[in-house]
Amino acid sequence: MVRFAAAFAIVAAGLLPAAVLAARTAPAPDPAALVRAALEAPRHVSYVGQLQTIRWGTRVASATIQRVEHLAPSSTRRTFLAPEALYGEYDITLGTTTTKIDPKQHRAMVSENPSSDNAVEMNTSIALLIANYRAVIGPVEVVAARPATTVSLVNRYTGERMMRLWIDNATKVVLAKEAYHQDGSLAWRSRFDEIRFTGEIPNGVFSTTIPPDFQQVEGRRFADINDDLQSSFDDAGFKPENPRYLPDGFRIIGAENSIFRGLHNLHILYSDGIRTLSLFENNSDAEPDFGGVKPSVTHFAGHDAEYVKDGPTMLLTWRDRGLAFALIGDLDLTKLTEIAVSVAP
Amino acid sequence: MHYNADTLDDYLHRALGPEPDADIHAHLETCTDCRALYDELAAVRDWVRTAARAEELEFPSIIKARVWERIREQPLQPSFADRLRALWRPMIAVPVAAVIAGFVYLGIPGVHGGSQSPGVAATYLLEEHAALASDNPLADRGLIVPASVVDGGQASGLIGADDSAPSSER
Repeated sequence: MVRFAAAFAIVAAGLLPAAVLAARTAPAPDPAALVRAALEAPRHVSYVGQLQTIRWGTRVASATIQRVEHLAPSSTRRTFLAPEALYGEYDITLGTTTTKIDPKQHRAMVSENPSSDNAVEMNTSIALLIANYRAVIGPVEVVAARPATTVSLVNRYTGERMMRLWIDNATKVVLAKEAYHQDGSLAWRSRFDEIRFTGEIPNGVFSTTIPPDFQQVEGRRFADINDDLQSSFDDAGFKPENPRYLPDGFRIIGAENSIFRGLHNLHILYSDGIRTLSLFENNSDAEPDFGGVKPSVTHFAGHDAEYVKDGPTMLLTWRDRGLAFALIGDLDLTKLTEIAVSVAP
Repeated sequence: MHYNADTLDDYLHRALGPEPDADIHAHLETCTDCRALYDELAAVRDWVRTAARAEELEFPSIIKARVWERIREQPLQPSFADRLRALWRPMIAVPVAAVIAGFVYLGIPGVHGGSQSPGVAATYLLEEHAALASDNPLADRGLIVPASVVDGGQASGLIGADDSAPSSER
């Protein structure tokens, strides 16, 4: 028996370096394939967890904590746990329909967004992302008590890291992500404090039955953003203008029309795979309504423009030749202004 | 052996694992070519960051609009109306009427032809942007607007107003 144990120990000692060597020489995962797998993971992985999101402004930050229950492929409930003002509110997304429930005010709102559960658009987004960003695999770190591979997404044009992902080694679900401003400072971060991978979620969690004493508010019914662009432009009721300049990597991904206070609005959406830019146009020639906010003023190409900032998001508005324009995106004022100058008819 | 710009860029952004990070760190101590390329990349990064920071300005958040809307929606207290009536004396009423007339002249569209009816609400535009931007699988899910800050089907802010915290950047 002793002889057998000694022999086993010798064999094991001989195999250990080989095992370590094998582990070290295992082929590194393809970064782009890993990112693709991570973005597609929610289609086939179910989980329950607590997600913390922090958004940084110029001086202060705001944070929310949500309990997330996700049943693959496309059922998700998010319940706010913090801040206190939002505690208990939740939204349930089933495919393309989202029901927001506010128990404190006894109000429910149902909205529809065909683009939110569209596999073709998902593939387009991933292709755009990989075309514009280089994925760089970094060290394994621990998030929510799980080993996760870090992946930096580096803009191919500027060389700046715009986002970092922590991808669960076992399931490929994104456990954390950070987005950065162009100057490298942190714009926002989301991270699971805890997560459990399970499909055992009671059906009642995703019930969208609205209690009879709740006021039901009609939400937005978004058109499919990838509908024919030309038809969206034709339906605008005016000749739309397009920017002649966009930052490197951005391209148009869709357009839709909406009506606000009787005004037709054309919304053109651009993206580079991570960042999103919106251009709104209408022919009211009216100044936008900033409510109680006093916007700041800037000038470009003979135009007076106004802008406000909400966390990492900048809104720039101006008028030109009977049209009212608004640009929104996580870009700095200089970039937005360059785009605005190029929109001028 | 020399490192290429992509690898040095990753090193610069601390995107490499501990081993390659240490290797490049040691290499840069001895290789003047790689050091020069690294310094060049660092200079570009610093320039971009400086340029971006130079444009970074401080502005109030759109959420203030929602706070003010909420404040304005509060019903007036009856006692306030009573107090207002008590103040309705000629000595006060005449200057007040003059001020109101001024506001009417300056504030109502068409009275003096100098202003226009308000256009689309900025909060509406922000919600439209957030809703469609959230289709991106890498989007900031914190952009999703909770039900309590949606008014009559039109969004009025990104995150619920909570005056216990600084709201200017929410």
